[in-house]
Parts: sequence; C-alpha cells; structure tokens
Amino acid sequence: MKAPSRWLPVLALLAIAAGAAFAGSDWTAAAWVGASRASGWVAAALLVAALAASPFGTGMDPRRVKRWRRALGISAALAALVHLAIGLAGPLRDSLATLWTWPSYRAGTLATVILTLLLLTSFPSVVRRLRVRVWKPLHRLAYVAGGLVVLHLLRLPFAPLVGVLVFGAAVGVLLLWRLGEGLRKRRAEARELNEGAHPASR
Amino acid sequence: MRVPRQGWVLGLAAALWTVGGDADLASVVLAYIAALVLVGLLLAWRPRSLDLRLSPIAATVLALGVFGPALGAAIERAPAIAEGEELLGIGEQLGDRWAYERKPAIAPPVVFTDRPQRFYVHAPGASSVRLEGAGLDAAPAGDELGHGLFRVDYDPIRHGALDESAVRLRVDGRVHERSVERVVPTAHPRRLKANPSRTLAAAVSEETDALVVVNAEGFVGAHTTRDRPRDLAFVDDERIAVASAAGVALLDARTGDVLAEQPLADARVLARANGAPRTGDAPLVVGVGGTPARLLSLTEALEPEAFAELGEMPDALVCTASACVAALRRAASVVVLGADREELPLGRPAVTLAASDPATVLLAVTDYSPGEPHLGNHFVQDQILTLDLERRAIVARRPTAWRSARQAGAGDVDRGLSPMALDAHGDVLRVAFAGSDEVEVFRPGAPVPDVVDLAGTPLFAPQGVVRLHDGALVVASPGAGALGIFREGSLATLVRLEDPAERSPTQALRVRGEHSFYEATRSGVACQSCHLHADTDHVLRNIGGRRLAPTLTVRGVADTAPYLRDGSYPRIRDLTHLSTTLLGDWLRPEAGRGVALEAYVRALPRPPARPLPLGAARAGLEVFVRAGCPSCHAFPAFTSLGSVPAGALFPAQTALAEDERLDIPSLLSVGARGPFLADGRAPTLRSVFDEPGDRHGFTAALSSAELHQLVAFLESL
Repeated sequence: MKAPSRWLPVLALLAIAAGAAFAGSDWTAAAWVGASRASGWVAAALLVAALAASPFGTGMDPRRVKRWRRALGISAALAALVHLAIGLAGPLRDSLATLWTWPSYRAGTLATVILTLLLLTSFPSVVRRLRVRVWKPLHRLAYVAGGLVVLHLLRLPFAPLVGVLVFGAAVGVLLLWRLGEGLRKRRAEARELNEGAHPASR
Repeated sequence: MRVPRQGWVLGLAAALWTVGGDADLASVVLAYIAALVLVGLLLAWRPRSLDLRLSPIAATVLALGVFGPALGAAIERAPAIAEGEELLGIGEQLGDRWAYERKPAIAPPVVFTDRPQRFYVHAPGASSVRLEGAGLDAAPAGDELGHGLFRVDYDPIRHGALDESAVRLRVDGRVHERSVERVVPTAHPRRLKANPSRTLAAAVSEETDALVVVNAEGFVGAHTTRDRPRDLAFVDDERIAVASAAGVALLDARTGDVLAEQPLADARVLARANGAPRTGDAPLVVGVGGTPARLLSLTEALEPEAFAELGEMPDALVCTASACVAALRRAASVVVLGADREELPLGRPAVTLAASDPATVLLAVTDYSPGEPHLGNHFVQDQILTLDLERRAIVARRPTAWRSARQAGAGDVDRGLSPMALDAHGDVLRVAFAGSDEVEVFRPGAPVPDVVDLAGTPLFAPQGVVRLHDGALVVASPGAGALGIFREGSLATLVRLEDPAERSPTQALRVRGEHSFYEATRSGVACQSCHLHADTDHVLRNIGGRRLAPTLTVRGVADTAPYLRDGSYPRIRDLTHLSTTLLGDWLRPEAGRGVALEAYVRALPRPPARPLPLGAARAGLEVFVRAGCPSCHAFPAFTSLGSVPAGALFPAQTALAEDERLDIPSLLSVGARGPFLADGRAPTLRSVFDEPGDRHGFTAALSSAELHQLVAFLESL
C-alpha cells in the first residue's frame, strides 16, 4: 500500500467534488456554493482526524501513526486551500475584503494561513532542518487553527450548529488530551531524570 | 527553576501583543505565531540560549513584569475584542439558530390567541404534521408543501386558543414539544369617532372584538362585535357601523343590538359618506382588501355598490360633500375621489386625516416632500397639512413640534410630537400627540395651543380625540386600553376596557414597551415616526448611512437575531442605543426600557398571509428551492439568521461597499414590505429578480411563469 500522504489528498479532493455535486443542484449554478461548503467541511473533518491520529494511535506502530497524521494534516491543509480558492473564485470574488474585515472570515483566513505554514513545514527536509525542538511547538498551532475554525463556523449562517458543536467539542477534547499527554510526558521525564541523577549524587 | 520553552513563547507573545497588538483575536494569534517563530529561530541558531535558570522570586517578578501588562491590556481591550469579533449577543443568536435547526422546527415562534396565523414547520422526511397544545379543541393539520416543509393555518376561533407557552408538533405520530411565545393581546380602543350631534363617541378594539361607546358622563356600553373590528362610523346619532374581518355590521349604539350585517372579506376602513360625489344616497363608504383594494359605498341596508378601486388598502378614509379622501401608505399620497379622481403625492404617508369643512381635509404627516426626499439623518418634521378639495392642493402647513419651558438642551423638543388623531370642530382643531402624551387645542389667533397633558393619568400615546357637544374631550389611549373624558384640561372620567390589575407581568411589560414605542425622543423622532403602527411607512430615508434605505417593519421579527440591515444588533432591546445616542434620548426617564420595548415588539402580530392555493404554493416552493433560495432563506423561518457580503450578492451595485454586511431577512410576510433590497432599489418583489449576475438566487434560468409562481409563493408567506 502506498503512503497515505500520496492518495489521501486525492481522496479529499474527490470528497469535496462529491459534496459539491450533492449540495449543488447542478454544476452551473449552486455548485460554487456547494463546493465551498463541502471543501470547508472536508478540511475541518481532516483537521480533526489529524489531531486525533495520536490519541487513537496509542499502542500502534509510532511510524505508521506518524505517517497517517502527516497525510491527514497535509490533506487538511490542501482542503483548506481548496476551500479558500473556491471562495475567492466563487461567492467571494467580488468581496475579497471580507476575508480580513469580517471576523468569521478573518478567523477562517487565519486558520488557513496556519495550516499552510504547517503544510510547508511538513516536508522531511524542512522537518530535519527545523529540528524537533522547533518543529513540534510549531505544529501544535494546529490546535489554534482548530479554535479559529470554530470561530469561523460559529458566525456562518450556513454551517449547521450541530456540526459546529461537534467539531468544537472534538477539538476541545483533543486539546485536553494533548495537554494531559504533555503533562504526563513531562512528569515521566522528570522522574527519569531524578532516578538517573540519584545514584550519581550518592 | 528552569523557564520552560513555552514560557518564553507565551511571554514574548504577550509582550508583542501588549506593545503593538490591536484589539482583535487576529493580533493575538499573530503575536503568538511571531513569538513561536522567533523562539524557534533562536533555538535553531543557539540551541542552549534559552536554558535559563531563575530563582522562584526572580521567575515570579519576570512573569509579573511580562504578563501583568498583558493582562491589563486584555482587560482593557476585552470589550472591543468582543465587539470586533462579533461575540456580543452570540448566545441569543445561537439560541435562535438552534431553535430553527432543531427538527422539527416551527416558525414564527409566537402564537396569538386573537387572530388566525400561518406557521411553517420544517420536518424533513415527515409525511404528516399536526399542531397540538393545551386549550386547542382541534389540532390544525399541516399541508405538505415539499422539501420537508409544512404550512399550518391556525385559527383560534376554529381550533381554540392556546393556553400555554408551548406547542406540541405531532410529526408522523411522534410528539415534539417546542416552546413558543403565547400572546394574549390587551384591549386597544382605536378609531375614536363621534356621532353627528357629538353626544356619543365610540372606538373599536380589534384585539378583543369590542366596541366601546361613551358619552360626556362616561361609559355607555361595551359591545362584542364580529371578528377583529378595525373601524367604525356613525350612520346617525344612534347607529354605528363596524367594519371587521367578517364584513360590516350595523349596531344600535347604546344596546349593541345588530341591526344589519353584510359579509365582506377583509373590511378595513369605514367612513360616513356625508353626501360625497358618486356615493349617491349611500350613508357609508367602506374599504375592503383584495387585489386591487376596493372602496364600496353601502346603502342603509348595507348593500354594497362599487365606488372606486385603489392600488392598496387606505390607512384612513374621510368623506365630505366635496369628495372622499383616502390616505395611501405605500404610495405616500392621498387620493381625492370627487367628481373626478386625483392623487396628490406627499412624500410621506398621511398618518391620519379629518374633515375640517366640506371643502377642506386636514392631514397629519411626518414630513411633506412631494418632490425629492429630505435627506437629513432620520428626518422627521411632524406637521398638519391643509388639503383644499376644490383646488386639489396642499394650501397650508403647520409644523407641530415645539419646545416648552421644561426643556433643558438646545434644540430639544417636547411638545407636538407624532400627531395621531385630528378633530376639527368649527374653527378649533384638536390634535392627539402620541409622541408627547398630550392633546393640543389650536384656537384661531392663539399664539400657542392649549395643552391637555396626559402625564399623571393612566393614559399615554393618545390615538384618538373627539370633542363632545358640551365641551368634554374624549381621548383614546390604545396602549392603556382606556378612554379618558377630560373637562377643562383635567381627567374627569376614565373608561377602562379592562382592569390593568388583571394583566399578566408579561402583558404589563408589553404595555410599557408600547409606550416607549410611541414616545418621542428629544429630537422629535419616535419609533412610530417611521414604523407606522410598527409597520413600515414604505419610505426611503437617510438613517445615517451612505444612502437612502427603506424603512423596515418591526412585525414578525421575534427570534430572528441579528437585527437591522447590517445585522449589527444582536438583540432587539439593544436598538434603544439608537434612540439614546443618535436621537437625543426619550423624554421620560425609565428603567428597563429596552426589555419592555423588546417584549412589545416580539408580541406584534405580523401582517396576515395572502391566500394561495396549495397547488400553487407547492409549485412556488419548487421554484424557490430550485433557485437556491433556502441556502440563505432557510426553512422554517425563511432566514439562516446570518449575513452576507454585499459584493457576493450584488457585485454590480457600486453604491454598496463590497464588504458591506447585508442581514439575511426572514421572508415571512415579505409581501407586506417594500420597497425591497437594502437600498430599496426594487419597488416590487418581482423586480428583485431583475438583479443581474444570478447571485441573489439562481433566477436567470427561470421562465416568466416560474418567476410568477415564485412571487406568488413569497407573497403568501
């Protein structure tokens, strides 16, 4: 099986197309609106999936989990860029200023900028150059992006509230898991350090 | 202790935002990203550069030094952030959205116990919907329109009046409880008129199906009438004709006995004919709804005869020996129906009118601008116009607003605001001013009018005034549910249609809100000045924006947050901000005014839906869906409670800024509004779909017949 980072983005794009075709009555009229919404939801779902890869992958082969997390993250960023592109080419092409002047769109724009930053720093050569000490905290911005997506969706009249609440709850739970995991690791490291230092100090 | 790496990032982010950040979340996020990148670069360059160990005291001092100012800045900027990020009132808006997204959903969420209403229920996949509730004798069934939408027509007379603030939606046999606001209206005596000899005066209360008759001593009788009486006219000293939703009835003024009846669909205005041309010997003229609205003359036996057709139902009608005059709101004009017919534009609709003598009619208006509209911000100049029926021209104007000695601020006015009723008798004119809670008596030659102040009485916002034969003054206060009989400027007798002590707290709150709605601010402008009786005056006016905008109706807006054209107000109560800041504040100090005003506005009935056969409604809904309308005007409230950029909808409109926010209005009762779109450029619903670009609904491909179906459907909502 090929690495998911190769085929998952293609699958995401197909999902966007299918969603658009489903939401729009035909490709000449409502498709722009449908495609915009479908791409947004696909991006949001992939972002949650990327954030959930680590907790759900606990106990699995770490390299495999890492591959999936990376593929899902790349797909989420690509879907977000597609979402932005559709918005710029379709519904918002005559009101580009709203991307920054409207709070809900501004939050979405910022989330896309963050995801793009993470996408650009997901290539192995960049990861190596950045080193894990820089790369890791940078990629925790994915949670900030998640929060911004909640703000983006919350004031959008077209986003079903149930979907927004589910997405927000998912991001919140995953953030709590991440904080708990960080705390647990820090304690374990401190314990190891203490245990290692103890004999030497004697 | 060692400073963690995240501590450096947060500290740097806090410092960056405190020093150079704006009051918005984007600045916070950007400061954090910048700090993250800077710390990362530093660590990449010198990995051990931030391995700093501090004593707990030093760490605390450092943290306080960095995070203290940031906390101060956050506290200071929090209100601006909440406003800028549109987080104010988000709870209310999400609550409204949740109510409509939770299926099955019902709209509007207000049930009136006094009048028929149409509800829409969105229950995707369902095949049957019934409305049930405590007090309902029969459960009105919904007509399926398609796409999960049901139309439910409820009539309290046929189905029983709802007893509680909840309805049960029985959808395919399964019951779903939904909370609604139950409105039991209070009595509102309106259309106060005197008999020819001025020994009696009478008013009707549409909300409570009542006709009340008084004389100079007080109460004569209160009679129950047919469904929803709207107007009355004395045929002679002892007989009153009453126009109601059911038709016209002739009653004995003292006993209330019905002497004759004529069923007429939707009779609204009534006037004594007074021998006007083309009415023959008929004693009455009545206006009945329909397309077109018609004026009929009625014989003694109430037999109708065609008299005139009008483009719309007049707000008021008066007849003299020279002509009948009808006040048209949408056209902002009066139509003079004498031997010939002539329409006189006023620029603003006449609020009320009265005959002064056979050749003269007086009109109360909020401005007179038959040519170009006056462009002053919220421009209102209350005045009384004299219409000469022979010359067919406005021959005199009398501005009414003035400032009494009690005024403090320069330019403030406190008298003569919002004239709502006129009574001309001889040379003396009496005017009821709802905005300043008074009646003024204008005598020829007197420099200032005599003032009958309603302050200190239970009456407020008078909408009717009549002088009786012995000099007693009868004043009708619909909001107070009472008539007052004044002698020498003092209240002598109060005739209440109901006991205020029996009002529920909610009803009492709504009454307070009604007072605020009609009460003027110190600039002379009241809500009523533009929103005539809570409807629109159909006028384009400058409301402080970049262009003229049509007046919105405030009926049927419950649970459709946010409010105003740009959706800038999350709650109805917040709109008091406009009056307190822009319009100089109200005359009376009152605590909790916004809440009371909101309670009143929420409980206003929306205009009745126009009948449309089920088949036509289904066809219209199909077109509505095909055009993509539900994307924004979502079921069942026909709004998704959001806003869209002007540039996305109307890119060709250069008058609109591309990022200007346009609220998505509910389409319920849309047919009663107009002109349409944010700047009123569409005079009719049909012309809304002439917008180029296929952005505001995908309507370019629709045939003429389909557009006709769509417009008919919208008018029936």
